[in-house]
Amino acid sequence: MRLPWLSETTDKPTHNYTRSGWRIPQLNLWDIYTDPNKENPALVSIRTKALIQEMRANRKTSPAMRPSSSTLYNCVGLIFCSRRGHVDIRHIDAILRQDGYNEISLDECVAGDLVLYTFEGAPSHIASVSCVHMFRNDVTRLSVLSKWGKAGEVEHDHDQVPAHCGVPTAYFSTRLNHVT
Amino acid sequence: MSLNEYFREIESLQFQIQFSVVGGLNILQLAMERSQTLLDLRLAIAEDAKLAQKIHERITLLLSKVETETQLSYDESIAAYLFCLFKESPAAAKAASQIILKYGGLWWSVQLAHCVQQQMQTELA
Repeated sequence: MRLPWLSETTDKPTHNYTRSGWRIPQLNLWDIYTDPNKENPALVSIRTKALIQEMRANRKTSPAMRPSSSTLYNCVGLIFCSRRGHVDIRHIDAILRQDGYNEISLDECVAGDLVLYTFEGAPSHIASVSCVHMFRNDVTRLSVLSKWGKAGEVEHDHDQVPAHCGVPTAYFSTRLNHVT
Repeated sequence: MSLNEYFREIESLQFQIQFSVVGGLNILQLAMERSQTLLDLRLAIAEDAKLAQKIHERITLLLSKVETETQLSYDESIAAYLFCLFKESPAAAKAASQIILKYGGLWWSVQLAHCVQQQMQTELA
């Protein structure tokens, strides 16, 4: 059942902060859209299905699409702003530092950890680990939840993303046993 | 490739979705720098100055379609045209960015238009 939309509470942009208290730089969606909470879900769905179809054609594993939302947010907004904001990926290094994340290896990943992607050396995408697949004691692959830009949310193998999302290059966790 | 073929490719769903996944404006610009289609179009604009005006007209045409055609938003297509103009014909890019900002309602196109305006102002100063 869909909960009632409280439109009177959305007339001003909201702010999100890291654990250190640093305000995450966010684009003011109201400067761009007349109503940023009304992204066209049909369009999001068309884009996501087309991307998945293209990945299937390239013999990559089939990602699972989640229902589309009418709110505009991106991969960083999904993880750090609870699906409420669009944060440019160029701020990701600062956010990870201000939130106390530590870099870990692929083998140390558990559900909830993060995968950072880079395109031509620049941070390009981030995803949250949803499941770790193991064979004997080795991690064989990770399932992750991410949002592909203006397309929808997708659960996919961590190394199966559209070309412009980049390639997985680093893994991060806030678990205390990784603090050195 | 003829200009109409460039238009067809850049306005296709396949072209739009490959750029719609980017997580930031710098990645969008980096991806557009590497696109062979856009490199070819930029070369064509550099060789024939009249193409800049035709692309400007195409941007205006697409902007008028945005509200009526929901199957494609043309956001990435318009951003791609603006990117090519900015690289090869800054004056045409400035004029196109003003029209894009006037229409609004698009994501990457509006951000890129703001970026074009800022860079032009910086260069003038």
